[in-house]
Amino acid sequence: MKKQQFLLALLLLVVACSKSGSGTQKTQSEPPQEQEISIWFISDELETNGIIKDFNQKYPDIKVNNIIVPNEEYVSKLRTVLRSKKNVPDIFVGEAANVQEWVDTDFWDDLPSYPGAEKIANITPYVRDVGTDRNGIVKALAWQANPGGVYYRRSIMEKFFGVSAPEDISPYFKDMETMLQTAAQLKEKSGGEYMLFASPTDLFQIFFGGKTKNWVSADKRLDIDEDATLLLEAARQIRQNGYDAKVTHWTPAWYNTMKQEGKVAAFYLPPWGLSYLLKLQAPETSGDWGVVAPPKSFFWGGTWLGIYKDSPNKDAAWKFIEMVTLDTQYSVDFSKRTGGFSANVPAAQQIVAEGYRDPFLKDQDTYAFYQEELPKITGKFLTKYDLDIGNIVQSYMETYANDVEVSLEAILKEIKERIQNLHPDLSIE
Amino acid sequence: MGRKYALHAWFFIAPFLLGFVVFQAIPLLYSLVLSFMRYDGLSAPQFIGFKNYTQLFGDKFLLEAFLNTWKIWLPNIISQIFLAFALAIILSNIRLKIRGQGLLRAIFYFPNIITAATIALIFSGLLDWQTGAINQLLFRDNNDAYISWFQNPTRARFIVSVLLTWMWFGNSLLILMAGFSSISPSFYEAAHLDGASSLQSFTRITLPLSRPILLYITITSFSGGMQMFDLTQVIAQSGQAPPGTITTLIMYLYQTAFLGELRIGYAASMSYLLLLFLMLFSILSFRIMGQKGVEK
Repeated sequence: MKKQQFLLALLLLVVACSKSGSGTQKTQSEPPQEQEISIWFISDELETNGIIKDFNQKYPDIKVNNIIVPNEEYVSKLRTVLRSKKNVPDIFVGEAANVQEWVDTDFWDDLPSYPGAEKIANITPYVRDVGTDRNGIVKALAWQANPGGVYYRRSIMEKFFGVSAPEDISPYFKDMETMLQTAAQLKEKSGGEYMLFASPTDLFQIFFGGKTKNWVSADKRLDIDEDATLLLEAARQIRQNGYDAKVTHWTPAWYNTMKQEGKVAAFYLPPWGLSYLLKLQAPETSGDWGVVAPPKSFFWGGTWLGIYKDSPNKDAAWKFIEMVTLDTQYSVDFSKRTGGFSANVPAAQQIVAEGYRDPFLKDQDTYAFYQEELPKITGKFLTKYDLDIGNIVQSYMETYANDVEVSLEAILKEIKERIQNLHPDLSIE
Repeated sequence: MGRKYALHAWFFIAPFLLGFVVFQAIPLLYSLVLSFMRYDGLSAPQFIGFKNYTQLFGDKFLLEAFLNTWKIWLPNIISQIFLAFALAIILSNIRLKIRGQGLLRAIFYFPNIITAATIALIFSGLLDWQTGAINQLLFRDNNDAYISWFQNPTRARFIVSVLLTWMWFGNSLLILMAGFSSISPSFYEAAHLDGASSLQSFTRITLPLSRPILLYITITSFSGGMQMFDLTQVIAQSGQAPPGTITTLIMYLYQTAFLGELRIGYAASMSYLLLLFLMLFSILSFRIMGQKGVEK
């Protein structure tokens, strides 16, 4: 018994010492924090890209509590805290597909009211429009612009079309009809070995991010027939004629088509697709790529940051958003470091003026390309229903592409019924 | 003394009781309340009476999910019981004297310990249209012959049924063997003395006395089957199956509660309808299969 008491006392002593020791180390290593802001982000990007570290260097008195909430759980968890008004983050985000969920609500504060907000005019128009509510007030900003492009394999195009420079390849993708003719030619010239598409899904983002009208009208009527018809018919044409590799996006099979031995000639991606897909999945193909304008200009992705309306740390939160989006020099340095394309127009212009060359694309000036694409893109036609509409339309592409017995009318009817089932307030007549 | 004894009893069940009340009873009651509300998780709940329940009967996608669940579960339970029963009889047969029964039971049980999501990921990959190992083994370089396994709705549901059978037949086997071991050997000895054949022993002794075990397997499988989610959700997310073809009841409930307009109240009413259905099925099963002795 005495031995047990001694051991227990010894154990408690060790625990007490280690706790006091760690407390001492904690106090010594971290500078005193005066303010703290919490951010809910959908990935570890703020840390891996060094944004939080940069912010701490600029504002050492503001601590950033970065909470990573996976994308698929983000909206439901955020709704829970917004409803309870407890533990709501000072900054929360909206992806391009669902940012409208928050823009036209009272949960994000008006950004023009903050000091230095006149620099919001420096943000590229489509990015600004996406984060603007129906009253014309900017509620959220993104630090990246994501204009889409057709990233093509120079060696494949050279082999079968005899050309590989962007100015010579561009005519092959000038519109949808020409692009499909290019696909037919590639199939014929390569004996079916090479394809222009990984999957009909390649076209989806062109339609989603290149919308020229709202998919839901002001009176909540679903208006997707025209766009959905074009997309589905193109999908069927691609699949039935053997123009694609029949792989599913975001699978190892898709990534393999990007590699040296891949047989797909082109990919329809935004700037982050170049950085996080092509360069990451196929580093051995460096120098074998070029980028040209797609048949229809589009944007894909992006993350908009807004300040919670009832945040007790609004000023500190604004400093964070201001640094990552409106600080021109920071945007220049950040873009060069990460390869992303800045939504800050003066920053983008500065990089273009310096003559940015990407060796992965055989020293093509990708920034100049993105700069040319931006004016063709609009962010005015997003609604809060777009994510669900897009997911449902996309889910039917394979079915319509594979099964020629299925009629377009039947598919469209089913698509609209499923959309209405998720959003009963919409009219499908 | 009795009072003191009762106090001790309460003390011992208190941890479970507390957990049950906080994590099960209260959420159950809250769900019941929500089922009479219109609630999207953001605005205040609004009482709408039985509107959610009446809406259930006109919901064609709910019916679709219900039928999908049955189309997947029914072939699974039939083949599962058949397979488990056959193996249990073989392994329990004294005359056959199968060696390595323990090892065999472990091998058969092994699929049950792998999570459903993992199995779904593995088989989504194996059955991938262009890159799956199954197509490559069957058809080698003949890409045109490759089968899009999940593209056909009937085939997709059949594959899920097969996976469920593979995952759960080992569990059923162990339960059946435990049930067989509880049947007194004297029944078989008496039957043998009376000149009964193996088939007669099986149909007149084994089958009737296995009813309670079969009832248990059927009800637990049904309960689990009606709540099928992870296996079908992961396969559906791979994008290989047409929309709605392998959407189960719980998947539809999840979509209703957490996607689109977030109709949490409507989803709660769905869960209570499912509860009612499970209760009715259990009662029906008890009545049909019941408790019967050895037939003479």
